[in-house]
Amino acid sequence: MKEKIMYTSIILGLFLLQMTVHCQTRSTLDFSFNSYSYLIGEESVHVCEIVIQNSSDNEYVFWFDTANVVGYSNKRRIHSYFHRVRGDFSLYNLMTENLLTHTSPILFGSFLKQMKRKEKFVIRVIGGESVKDKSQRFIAEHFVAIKKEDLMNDLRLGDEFFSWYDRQSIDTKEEFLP
Amino acid sequence: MKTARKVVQWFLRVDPLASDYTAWSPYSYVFNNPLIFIDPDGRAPETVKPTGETEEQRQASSQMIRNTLTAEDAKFVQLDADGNIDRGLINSRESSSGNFNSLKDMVNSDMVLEVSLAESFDYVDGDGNPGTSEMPYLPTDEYSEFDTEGNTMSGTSTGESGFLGKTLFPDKNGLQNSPDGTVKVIVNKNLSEPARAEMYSHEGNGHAYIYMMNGGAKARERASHQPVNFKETNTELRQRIIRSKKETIQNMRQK
Repeated sequence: MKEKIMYTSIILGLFLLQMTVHCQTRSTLDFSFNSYSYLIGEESVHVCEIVIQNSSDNEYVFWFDTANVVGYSNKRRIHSYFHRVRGDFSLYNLMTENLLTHTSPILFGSFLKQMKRKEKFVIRVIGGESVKDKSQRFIAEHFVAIKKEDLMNDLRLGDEFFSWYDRQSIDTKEEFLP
Repeated sequence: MKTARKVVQWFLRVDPLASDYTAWSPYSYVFNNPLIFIDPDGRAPETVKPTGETEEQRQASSQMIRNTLTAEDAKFVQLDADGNIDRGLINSRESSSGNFNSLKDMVNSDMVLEVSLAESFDYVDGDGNPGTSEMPYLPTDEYSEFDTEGNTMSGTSTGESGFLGKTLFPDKNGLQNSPDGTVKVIVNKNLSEPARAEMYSHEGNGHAYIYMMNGGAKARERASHQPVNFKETNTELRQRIIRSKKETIQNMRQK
C-alpha cells in the first residue's frame, strides 16, 4: 500500500512539474543565440543570430530600450520607452500625433514589433569575436516584451498602433548596442 | 408682357462694420472667402469660439484660454452674445503679452478657430472619409516627468500625459483634417486646469496661430511638427510653443 502511495505521489509530482514547465513556456518568449562567422577578404565577420520564438498562446509586443531595464516593473518599462521625452517628443506623442507613419523605425527609439502566436523573429547582430556574449547581455538587459493586451490597456491605444512593423527580422551592428 | 427684374450682384451700401475691418473692401462679402464663411446676418464672423456641448463646457473652454493670460489681460477676454470672444473688448486692450496678442490676432483674423475640451474628436481624412479619434488620458504617477518651467513642447508641469491636444486644419492635406471650414483646437478635458492652459498654448498659440496667420492651407507644413529622430526641426513652431507655455506657466503661478 505504501509503495502504491509513493508511486502515485511520484507520478502526480512529475505531472505537476510538467504542467508547471508547460505553463511557464506558454507565458514567455523563447530565445536562441546562434553564432557564425565568415571572411570578407582577410577580415572576419562575426554574426550572432538571435531567434525569438513566440510559442505561447499570447500575443506580445517587444522593443529594445537604451536603459538597462533589469529590475524594472512592467509599468516602469512601458514608461521608459513610451513616455520618456527624448529630444522634443516621447514615443507616445509621435504615435498619437500620427508622426511615425512615413518614417523608418528607430531601433531603441520607435521600433515596436508585434509577435503573434507561433511567430518567429530574427535579430542579426554583426560584430567582432565577442558578439554572442554582447548579444546575450543585450537581450538580458534591454529587451522588453509585454503582452499586447496589457500594453494596450496601459497605453489605452488601439491595435493599429502596434502592427505597422511587419518584417520578420532586423539587423544591427554590435557597436550600436547599448 | 413679361418684365425682367434686374438682379443686382453687389451690395448697395457699405458694410456697417466696415470700420472694424479696414483691410477689407467695405463692399466685399465674407472676406471674399465664401467656402469658409457665411454671413447670414451681416454681423462680425465667429473668429475664436470656445465650444462645448453644454454651457458649462463652453465656459470651461473659455476659462482655459483666459488661464494663459495675466489676470489683467484676462478681463478683456469675454464672450459676446454669440459665444465668441468679444472682438471689440479685446481690441480695446493694448498689452505686451505674447499670449494676449496671439489671441487678439486670431480673433481679428479671417479664419474661424473653435476651441473645445473633449476626450475624442471627429475628423476627415485626406479622401474626405470621416473618422473619430480617442484621446487617452494618463494621470500623474510615480514615473511622471514634470516640466515645471515649460522647457518642452509636449510635457506638462503637472506630470499628466497621454494624447493631450490636437489641432485640425480645414484643408484636406493631412491624415486628420477639420470636418468643416474651421480650424479646431481640441484639448483633453481630463487634464487639470494648469495642464489645459499649457496644452492650449501648444495647440492654439502654436499650431493654430501659425496656420491662421500664414495663409491657411499654404501654411500647413509651417504649422505642423516635423520630427527627425525625436527632435523638432520646425524651429518656428517649437519656439512659439515653448514661449507661450512658459508665459502660461508664469501666469498660472501668479493666480
